[in-house]
Amino acid sequence: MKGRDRLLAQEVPVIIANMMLGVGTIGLPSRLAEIAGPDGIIAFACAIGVLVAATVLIILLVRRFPNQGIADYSTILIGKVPGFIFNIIFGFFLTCVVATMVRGFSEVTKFFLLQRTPLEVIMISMLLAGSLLARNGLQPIARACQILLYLFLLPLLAIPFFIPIFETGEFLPLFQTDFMSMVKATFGALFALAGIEVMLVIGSHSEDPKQLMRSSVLTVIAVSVLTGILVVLAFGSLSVNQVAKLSDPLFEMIKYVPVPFGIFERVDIFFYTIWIAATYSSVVIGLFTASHHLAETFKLETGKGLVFPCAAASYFLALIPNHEAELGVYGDSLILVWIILVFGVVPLFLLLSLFRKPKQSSTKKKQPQKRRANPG
Amino acid sequence: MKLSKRVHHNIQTIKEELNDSTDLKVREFNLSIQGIREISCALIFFEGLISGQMVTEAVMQPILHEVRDFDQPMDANLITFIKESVLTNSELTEKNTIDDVVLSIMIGEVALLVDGFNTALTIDMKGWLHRAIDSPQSEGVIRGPRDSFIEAINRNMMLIRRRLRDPNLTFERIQVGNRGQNDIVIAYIKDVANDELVNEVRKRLENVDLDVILDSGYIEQMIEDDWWSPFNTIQDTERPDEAAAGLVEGRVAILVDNSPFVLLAPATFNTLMLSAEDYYVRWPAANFVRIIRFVASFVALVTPSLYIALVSFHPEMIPTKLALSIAASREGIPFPAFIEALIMELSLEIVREAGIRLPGPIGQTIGIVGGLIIGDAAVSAGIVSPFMVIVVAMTAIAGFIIPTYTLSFGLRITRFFLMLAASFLGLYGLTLGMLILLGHLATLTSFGVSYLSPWAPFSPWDLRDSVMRSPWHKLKRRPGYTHTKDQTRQPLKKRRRRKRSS
Repeated sequence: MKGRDRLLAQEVPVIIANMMLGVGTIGLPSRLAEIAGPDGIIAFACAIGVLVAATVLIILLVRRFPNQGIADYSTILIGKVPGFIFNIIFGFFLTCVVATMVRGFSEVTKFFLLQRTPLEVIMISMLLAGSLLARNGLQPIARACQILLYLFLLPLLAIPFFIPIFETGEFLPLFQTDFMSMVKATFGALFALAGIEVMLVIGSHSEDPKQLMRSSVLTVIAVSVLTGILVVLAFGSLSVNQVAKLSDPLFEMIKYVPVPFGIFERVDIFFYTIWIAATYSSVVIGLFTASHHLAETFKLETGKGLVFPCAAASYFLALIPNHEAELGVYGDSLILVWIILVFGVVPLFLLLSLFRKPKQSSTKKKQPQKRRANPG
Repeated sequence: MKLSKRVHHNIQTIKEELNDSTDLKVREFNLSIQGIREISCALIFFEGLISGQMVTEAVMQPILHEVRDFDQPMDANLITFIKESVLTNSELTEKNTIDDVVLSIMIGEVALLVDGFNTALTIDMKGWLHRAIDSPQSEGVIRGPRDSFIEAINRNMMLIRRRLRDPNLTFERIQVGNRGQNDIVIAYIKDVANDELVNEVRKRLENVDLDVILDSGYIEQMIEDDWWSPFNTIQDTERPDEAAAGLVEGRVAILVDNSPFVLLAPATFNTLMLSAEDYYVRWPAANFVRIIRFVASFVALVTPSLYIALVSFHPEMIPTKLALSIAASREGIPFPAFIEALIMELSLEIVREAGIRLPGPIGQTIGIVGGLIIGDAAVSAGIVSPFMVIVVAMTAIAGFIIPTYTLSFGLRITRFFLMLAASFLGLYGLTLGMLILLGHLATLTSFGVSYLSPWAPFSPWDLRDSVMRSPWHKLKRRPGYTHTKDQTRQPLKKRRRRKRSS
């Protein structure tokens, strides 16, 4: 690969947060309520624990191989051919993640905003818009995500103060759900919160790997807690039973927010635009990660040329589910792969790395110049 | 080609080089030394670039008068004598080649050729006419200096020097343009500006390979980071105070001869949104105006496309009474909202462009006629709805609040793109368009500096001079994005409150 784009210490949390906040956030309360009822909150807390553990494992691996992506060190650890096969599968997984995001997004958009517009148009437009930024490299993505994060955080932090009804009784009684349902609900929460796996590809671009563990774990916890607040608000304001019946309860909840001065009839549509932005940032990061990883796998100069092919592949993969329910099944399969990756492959690589030390020469060769916040 | 010792031969060669142009004046005369020997001399210059009377009074007369008593032997250097003891002009240079002499003549110098010497003396007497210093046309302020740059580069340098009496203020002159040989000056404060930045500016300017530089716009387009963007990544200003402020911030100014616009690099979206006046009025007033400016820019960018999205795709978002009112006003309009908006926006652009080209008073009249009469007639004829006229008027007024003319161009072009996006996919299209715009802005850099600085990468200190500005006594450091050598602009110690005298 050509000289690596560097991520400033402040940009790593931005990338993680933008990847985590996305399509899944909207449907999360409904999924939890449907499977586990009020215990969904406990399942969500478990998911945070799993996610933190996953983050720790991933960052340990990233720090073990500074300045190298997973495509580089997987071949060192498990051999060239198995490593190549693994990288192709991982690249396919990343493309599937983008496909699932885009399809899920299009379904909601069609339902809420563009009933007469074909799904294909919504998917293509989102993928094209995402590709335009993904082609420009990691630094512009980080900058755009930084601006978008301000856009998400302000309304998300403000929402709790504007919800007029909140019933604390909705969270009781607890511990009424069986173990398997709890596991399923935890899977559902992981589907909404996943995103940290991009660090396997992007983590090596961090300018300050020492700070990576702390910043990543804190970001994962902060974003998870923020999402948890939304879940709690949805349960408390709409009731667990109603949330279970709705496909996108957060939009429904926002409708209760009073609009000052009666300028607009429906404020939920503005919340919806924020969600579009959140999805866009996730799609951009997903496309960049997939194309960048595949470029590293095939030893290409940059991943720029693979962004549009990845977007096209995501589009065709997104067409496979016949309806929204089938998309859920695909999502569950992806989470299963995610768990195998994070709690199977990553620990295996960590273990192998104890015996096979990273090549110092290649690390040195790729060592880039330090980037300043704004080079003069 | 070397100069010959024969003055007539040199005159002939220079005439040939300059194609015996009609404005080329050759004043031949004989120097009588002590009444014993006579030497042929010639003064060569372009009429218009230099006043003939000035040449006679400041060059010819002193030479004729003083050299008469030259008592050195024949082989002594008469040219050096004239240079050191006769002429009082500030810039006198000896040239040895025809090319150098020709170049000097072209930039407004007088060449003195003396028979028997293969050296010419060039005398800087640039004295062409230029307009007086006027108030700025595109960056007017209520509070603040009223002078602006003019087309004469030396005057422009003087306007900056007058504000910055700093020995470290450096002006570097280079010539660019194969045919034009135009003067370009790089200005910076040596112990403030980052060396990397100065070198990069110098390098890019040296790589410019145009025929002629008629305005700083040529240079701006040749050295900018992203030529394909509708947004300018180099600031242009006609205000000397703005240029001086930029230099103090550690930026580099580029002055181009014959251009009243000075370039400042690097520039960010934030710097382009700020006006010089923001620093002259008290900080609460400045903040109030800045917030209005940022909001108005957003309004100018988004209003027509939001109208299209709401009317065409999401009328349920509009309060019922207003929705009914809009629907009633649109009754009978033969065009969809997008075409209606496009007609009005294009008309506005035409009126605006016509207003610029027409002479002053007529231009204003056209603006009023275009705005009021044509708008009213269009509504009466049922071509556009009254709401559309309100939207366009609001957009136009809000657009004028953007302090940088070139930035407003970028936003105007983007507005049409957003309108198109909203007409295809409603609010989703508009949001997607805005995200593409954000993505585009995130890719832009100005001499390596992020265009979105200080918001991304986030720089808390620089936020003190962004959408809101801190009071002057809190602005202790120069902007971080310029990576200046000297980062402080006032001592970092706490400001003492003045005790009230009882």
